[in-house]
Amino acid sequence: MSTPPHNQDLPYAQVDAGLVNDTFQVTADPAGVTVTGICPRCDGRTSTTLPLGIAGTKGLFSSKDRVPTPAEQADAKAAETFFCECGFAHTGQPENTHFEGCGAQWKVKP
Amino acid sequence: MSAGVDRRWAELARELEFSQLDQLRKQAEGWRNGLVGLTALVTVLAVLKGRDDLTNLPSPWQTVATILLGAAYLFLVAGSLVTVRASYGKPGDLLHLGGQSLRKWTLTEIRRVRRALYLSMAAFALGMTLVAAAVGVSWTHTEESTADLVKVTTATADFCGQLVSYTPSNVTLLPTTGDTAKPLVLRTAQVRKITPATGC
Repeated sequence: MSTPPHNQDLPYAQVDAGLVNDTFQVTADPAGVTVTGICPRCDGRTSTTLPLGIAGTKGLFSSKDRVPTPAEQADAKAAETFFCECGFAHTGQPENTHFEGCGAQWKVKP
Repeated sequence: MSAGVDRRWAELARELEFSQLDQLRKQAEGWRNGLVGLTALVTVLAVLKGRDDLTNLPSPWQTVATILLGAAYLFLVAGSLVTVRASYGKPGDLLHLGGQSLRKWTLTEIRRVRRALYLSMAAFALGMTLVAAAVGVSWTHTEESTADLVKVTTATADFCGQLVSYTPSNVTLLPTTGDTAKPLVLRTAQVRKITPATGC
Protein backbone atom coordinates (compact mmCIF):
# COMPACT_ATOMS: atom_id res chain seq x y z
CA MET A 1 0.00 0.00 0.00
CA SER A 2 1.47 3.29 -1.05
CA THR A 3 1.49 6.28 1.26
CA PRO A 4 -0.58 9.22 0.00
CA PRO A 5 1.31 12.50 -0.43
CA HIS A 6 1.36 15.05 2.37
CA ASN A 7 -1.61 17.35 1.81
CA GLN A 8 0.03 20.67 2.59
CA ASP A 9 -2.88 22.68 1.25
CA LEU A 10 -5.10 21.49 4.06
CA PRO A 11 -5.87 24.40 6.41
CA TYR A 12 -5.14 24.02 10.12
CA ALA A 13 -8.11 22.75 12.15
CA GLN A 14 -8.32 21.10 15.54
CA VAL A 15 -10.08 17.96 14.41
CA ASP A 16 -10.51 14.78 16.42
CA ALA A 17 -9.84 11.89 14.03
CA GLY A 18 -10.96 9.40 16.69
CA LEU A 19 -9.51 5.89 16.80
CA VAL A 20 -7.17 5.11 13.92
CA ASN A 21 -5.60 1.85 12.80
CA ASP A 22 -2.28 1.03 14.38
CA THR A 23 0.20 1.76 11.61
CA PHE A 24 2.55 3.59 13.95
CA GLN A 25 6.05 2.53 14.84
CA VAL A 26 7.38 2.84 18.36
CA THR A 27 11.01 3.30 19.24
CA ALA A 28 12.44 3.79 22.68
CA ASP A 29 15.63 4.88 24.36
CA PRO A 30 16.47 5.87 27.93
CA ALA A 31 15.14 9.35 27.27
CA GLY A 32 11.65 8.19 26.35
CA VAL A 33 9.31 6.65 23.80
CA THR A 34 8.87 7.98 20.27
CA VAL A 35 5.78 7.15 18.18
CA THR A 36 6.13 7.74 14.44
CA GLY A 37 3.60 7.37 11.64
CA ILE A 38 1.36 9.12 9.15
CA CYS A 39 -1.14 11.76 10.22
CA PRO A 40 -4.65 10.45 9.43
CA ARG A 41 -5.77 13.92 8.31
CA CYS A 42 -2.98 15.55 6.29
CA ASP A 43 -0.98 12.37 5.58
CA GLY A 44 2.21 14.07 6.71
CA ARG A 45 4.84 12.08 8.54
CA THR A 46 4.44 12.81 12.24
CA SER A 47 6.60 11.93 15.20
CA THR A 48 5.79 12.40 18.87
CA THR A 49 8.25 11.82 21.67
CA LEU A 50 7.04 11.09 25.20
CA PRO A 51 10.11 11.89 27.29
CA LEU A 52 10.70 10.12 30.56
CA GLY A 53 10.32 12.58 33.37
CA ILE A 54 8.00 13.51 36.13
CA ALA A 55 5.37 16.11 36.68
CA GLY A 56 7.39 17.23 39.68
CA THR A 57 10.98 16.26 39.02
CA LYS A 58 13.32 14.24 36.91
CA GLY A 59 13.77 11.85 39.81
CA LEU A 60 16.62 11.51 42.25
CA PHE A 61 17.08 7.78 42.34
CA SER A 62 15.97 6.67 38.90
CA SER A 63 17.98 4.16 37.00
CA LYS A 64 19.91 6.12 34.42
CA ASP A 65 19.88 4.19 31.20
CA ARG A 66 16.87 1.94 31.37
CA VAL A 67 15.09 1.61 28.04
CA PRO A 68 11.30 1.26 28.38
CA THR A 69 10.21 -2.33 27.91
CA PRO A 70 8.13 -3.29 24.85
CA ALA A 71 5.09 -3.54 27.11
CA GLU A 72 5.67 -0.02 28.41
CA GLN A 73 6.11 1.22 24.84
CA ALA A 74 2.86 -0.43 23.78
CA ASP A 75 1.08 0.99 26.83
CA ALA A 76 2.30 4.49 26.03
CA LYS A 77 1.09 4.18 22.45
CA ALA A 78 -2.28 2.77 23.44
CA ALA A 79 -2.98 5.24 26.22
CA GLU A 80 -1.95 8.54 24.69
CA THR A 81 -3.74 10.96 22.45
CA PHE A 82 -1.49 11.96 19.56
CA PHE A 83 -1.41 15.23 17.68
CA CYS A 84 -0.23 15.91 14.18
CA GLU A 85 3.39 17.01 14.35
CA CYS A 86 4.19 16.86 10.67
CA GLY A 87 6.23 20.03 11.12
CA PHE A 88 4.51 21.88 8.29
CA ALA A 89 2.90 25.23 9.07
CA HIS A 90 -0.58 24.58 7.71
CA THR A 91 -2.59 27.68 6.87
CA GLY A 92 -4.21 29.20 9.92
CA GLN A 93 -1.94 27.47 12.41
CA PRO A 94 -1.77 29.42 15.72
CA GLU A 95 1.56 31.07 16.39
CA ASN A 96 2.20 29.51 19.78
CA THR A 97 1.00 25.99 19.20
CA HIS A 98 2.70 23.12 21.00
CA PHE A 99 2.12 20.80 18.06
CA GLU A 100 3.24 22.05 14.68
CA GLY A 101 1.01 20.34 12.16
CA CYS A 102 -2.48 20.29 10.69
CA GLY A 103 -4.24 20.30 14.09
CA ALA A 104 -5.57 16.72 13.98
CA GLN A 105 -5.58 14.51 17.03
CA TRP A 106 -6.25 10.81 17.34
CA LYS A 107 -5.88 7.71 19.42
CA VAL A 108 -4.43 4.44 18.20
CA LYS A 109 -6.75 1.44 18.14
CA PRO A 110 -5.71 -1.13 20.75
CA MET B 1 -13.04 13.09 27.66
CA SER B 2 -13.36 15.83 25.08
CA ALA B 3 -10.75 16.53 22.41
CA GLY B 4 -10.12 19.96 23.95
CA VAL B 5 -9.33 18.47 27.36
CA ASP B 6 -7.00 15.92 25.76
CA ARG B 7 -5.21 18.77 24.04
CA ARG B 8 -4.89 20.73 27.29
CA TRP B 9 -3.30 17.76 29.07
CA ALA B 10 -0.94 17.15 26.17
CA GLU B 11 0.08 20.81 26.12
CA LEU B 12 0.69 20.76 29.87
CA ALA B 13 2.88 17.66 29.50
CA ARG B 14 4.79 19.34 26.70
CA GLU B 15 5.43 22.42 28.86
CA LEU B 16 6.57 20.28 31.80
CA GLU B 17 9.27 18.83 29.63
CA PHE B 18 11.00 22.21 29.74
CA SER B 19 10.62 22.91 33.45
CA GLN B 20 12.08 19.72 34.85
CA LEU B 21 15.11 21.31 36.47
CA ASP B 22 13.10 24.10 38.09
CA GLN B 23 10.67 21.55 39.44
CA LEU B 24 13.51 19.41 40.73
CA ARG B 25 15.11 22.33 42.51
CA LYS B 26 11.81 23.35 44.08
CA GLN B 27 11.28 19.82 45.30
CA ALA B 28 14.81 19.58 46.67
CA GLU B 29 14.34 22.93 48.43
CA GLY B 30 11.12 21.77 50.01
CA TRP B 31 12.65 18.53 51.23
CA ARG B 32 15.67 20.41 52.54
CA ASN B 33 13.48 22.80 54.53
CA GLY B 34 11.48 19.92 55.92
CA LEU B 35 14.54 17.92 56.93
CA VAL B 36 16.28 20.97 58.43
CA GLY B 37 13.17 21.61 60.50
CA LEU B 38 13.14 18.03 61.68
CA THR B 39 16.83 18.15 62.51
CA ALA B 40 16.22 21.26 64.61
CA LEU B 41 13.37 19.50 66.39
CA VAL B 42 15.52 16.47 67.12
CA THR B 43 18.36 18.66 68.37
CA VAL B 44 16.14 20.68 70.67
CA LEU B 45 14.27 17.70 72.06
CA ALA B 46 17.07 15.20 72.37
CA VAL B 47 20.13 17.29 73.07
CA LEU B 48 19.14 20.57 74.67
CA LYS B 49 16.00 19.57 76.57
CA GLY B 50 17.46 16.26 77.64
CA ARG B 51 15.81 14.23 80.34
CA ASP B 52 15.61 16.71 83.19
CA ASP B 53 11.83 16.53 83.39
CA LEU B 54 11.83 12.79 83.84
CA THR B 55 14.55 12.36 86.42
CA ASN B 56 12.25 13.04 89.34
CA LEU B 57 9.76 10.38 88.30
CA PRO B 58 9.75 7.19 90.34
CA SER B 59 9.83 3.78 88.72
CA PRO B 60 7.88 2.60 86.74
CA TRP B 61 6.48 5.99 85.77
CA GLN B 62 9.81 7.12 84.43
CA THR B 63 9.73 4.23 81.96
CA VAL B 64 6.08 4.90 81.09
CA ALA B 65 6.75 8.59 80.43
CA THR B 66 9.84 7.76 78.39
CA ILE B 67 7.92 5.30 76.22
CA LEU B 68 5.07 7.78 75.76
CA LEU B 69 7.46 10.56 74.78
CA GLY B 70 9.43 8.26 72.46
CA ALA B 71 6.26 7.11 70.70
CA ALA B 72 5.01 10.70 70.46
CA TYR B 73 8.31 11.76 68.99
CA LEU B 74 8.17 9.00 66.37
CA PHE B 75 4.60 9.90 65.40
CA LEU B 76 5.45 13.60 65.12
CA VAL B 77 8.54 12.92 63.00
CA ALA B 78 6.63 10.50 60.76
CA GLY B 79 3.79 13.01 60.43
CA SER B 80 6.24 15.74 59.45
CA LEU B 81 7.87 13.53 56.82
CA VAL B 82 4.49 12.55 55.38
CA THR B 83 3.53 16.23 55.21
CA VAL B 84 6.73 17.09 53.37
CA ARG B 85 6.01 14.27 50.95
CA ALA B 86 2.48 15.60 50.42
CA SER B 87 3.80 19.11 49.81
CA TYR B 88 6.74 18.38 47.57
CA GLY B 89 6.08 14.96 46.06
CA LYS B 90 8.02 11.76 46.10
CA PRO B 91 11.52 11.97 44.64
CA GLY B 92 12.15 9.50 41.87
CA ASP B 93 8.59 9.10 40.61
CA LEU B 94 8.92 8.88 36.81
CA LEU B 95 6.43 8.77 33.98
CA HIS B 96 6.28 9.36 30.26
CA LEU B 97 5.38 12.98 29.75
CA GLY B 98 2.34 12.51 27.56
CA GLY B 99 -1.03 14.10 28.19
CA GLN B 100 -2.81 10.93 29.24
CA SER B 101 0.09 9.67 31.37
CA LEU B 102 0.20 13.03 33.10
CA ARG B 103 -3.55 13.02 33.66
CA LYS B 104 -3.46 9.51 35.12
CA TRP B 105 -0.48 10.39 37.33
CA THR B 106 -2.18 13.60 38.48
CA LEU B 107 -5.33 11.74 39.54
CA THR B 108 -3.22 9.17 41.41
CA GLU B 109 -1.13 11.89 43.02
CA ILE B 110 -4.27 13.70 44.21
CA ARG B 111 -5.34 10.52 46.00
CA ARG B 112 -1.85 10.08 47.49
CA VAL B 113 -1.67 13.67 48.72
CA ARG B 114 -5.12 13.46 50.29
CA ARG B 115 -4.14 10.22 52.03
CA ALA B 116 -0.85 11.74 53.16
CA LEU B 117 -2.66 14.75 54.62
CA TYR B 118 -5.05 12.53 56.57
CA LEU B 119 -2.13 10.39 57.75
CA SER B 120 -0.09 13.38 58.86
CA MET B 121 -3.06 14.85 60.73
CA ALA B 122 -3.67 11.52 62.45
CA ALA B 123 0.01 11.20 63.34
CA PHE B 124 0.07 14.74 64.69
CA ALA B 125 -3.05 14.19 66.79
CA LEU B 126 -1.71 10.89 68.12
CA GLY B 127 1.72 12.40 68.83
CA MET B 128 0.24 15.33 70.71
CA THR B 129 -2.05 13.00 72.68
CA LEU B 130 0.97 10.94 73.71
CA VAL B 131 2.87 14.10 74.68
CA ALA B 132 -0.11 15.18 76.79
CA ALA B 133 -0.22 11.74 78.40
CA ALA B 134 3.49 11.92 79.18
CA VAL B 135 3.08 15.39 80.67
CA GLY B 136 0.14 14.08 82.69
CA VAL B 137 2.24 11.23 84.03
CA SER B 138 5.04 13.66 84.80
CA TRP B 139 2.73 16.04 86.67
CA THR B 140 0.88 13.43 88.67
CA HIS B 141 3.78 11.21 89.61
CA THR B 142 6.77 13.50 90.05
CA GLU B 143 8.03 13.35 93.61
CA GLU B 144 8.57 16.61 95.42
CA SER B 145 12.12 17.73 95.07
CA THR B 146 14.18 16.75 98.02
CA ALA B 147 13.92 19.91 100.04
CA ASP B 148 16.32 20.58 102.87
CA LEU B 149 18.81 18.01 101.65
CA VAL B 150 22.17 18.71 103.16
CA LYS B 151 25.57 17.18 103.15
CA VAL B 152 27.15 17.13 106.59
CA THR B 153 30.90 16.81 106.87
CA THR B 154 32.23 15.59 110.20
CA ALA B 155 35.71 14.81 111.38
CA THR B 156 35.25 11.14 110.53
CA ALA B 157 32.80 10.89 107.61
CA ASP B 158 30.30 12.63 105.33
CA PHE B 159 26.55 12.18 105.75
CA CYS B 160 23.71 13.19 103.50
CA GLY B 161 20.00 13.49 104.18
CA GLN B 162 17.10 15.74 104.96
CA LEU B 163 17.86 18.22 107.71
CA VAL B 164 15.39 17.65 110.54
CA SER B 165 16.86 19.82 113.28
CA TYR B 166 19.90 21.74 114.29
CA THR B 167 20.61 22.41 117.95
CA PRO B 168 23.75 23.48 119.78
CA SER B 169 24.26 19.87 120.75
CA ASN B 170 22.96 17.76 117.84
CA VAL B 171 22.34 17.81 114.13
CA THR B 172 19.56 15.44 113.07
CA LEU B 173 19.28 14.09 109.53
CA LEU B 174 16.73 11.82 107.92
CA PRO B 175 18.64 9.60 105.49
CA THR B 176 17.22 9.28 101.98
CA THR B 177 18.76 5.86 101.46
CA GLY B 178 18.82 2.76 103.59
CA ASP B 179 16.58 2.99 106.64
CA THR B 180 14.81 6.25 105.82
CA ALA B 181 12.61 6.12 108.89
CA LYS B 182 15.45 6.16 111.39
CA PRO B 183 16.88 9.66 112.07
CA LEU B 184 20.62 10.04 112.11
CA VAL B 185 21.84 12.13 115.05
CA LEU B 186 25.27 13.73 114.83
CA ARG B 187 27.04 15.69 117.56
CA THR B 188 27.33 19.32 116.57
CA ALA B 189 30.81 19.53 117.99
CA GLN B 190 32.00 17.04 115.38
CA VAL B 191 30.41 18.84 112.45
CA ARG B 192 32.88 20.66 110.28
CA LYS B 193 30.61 21.80 107.49
CA ILE B 194 26.97 21.70 106.34
CA THR B 195 26.29 22.33 102.67
CA PRO B 196 23.06 22.18 100.66
CA ALA B 197 22.76 19.14 98.42
CA THR B 198 20.62 18.50 95.37
CA GLY B 199 20.71 14.73 95.90
CA CYS B 200 22.20 12.09 98.11
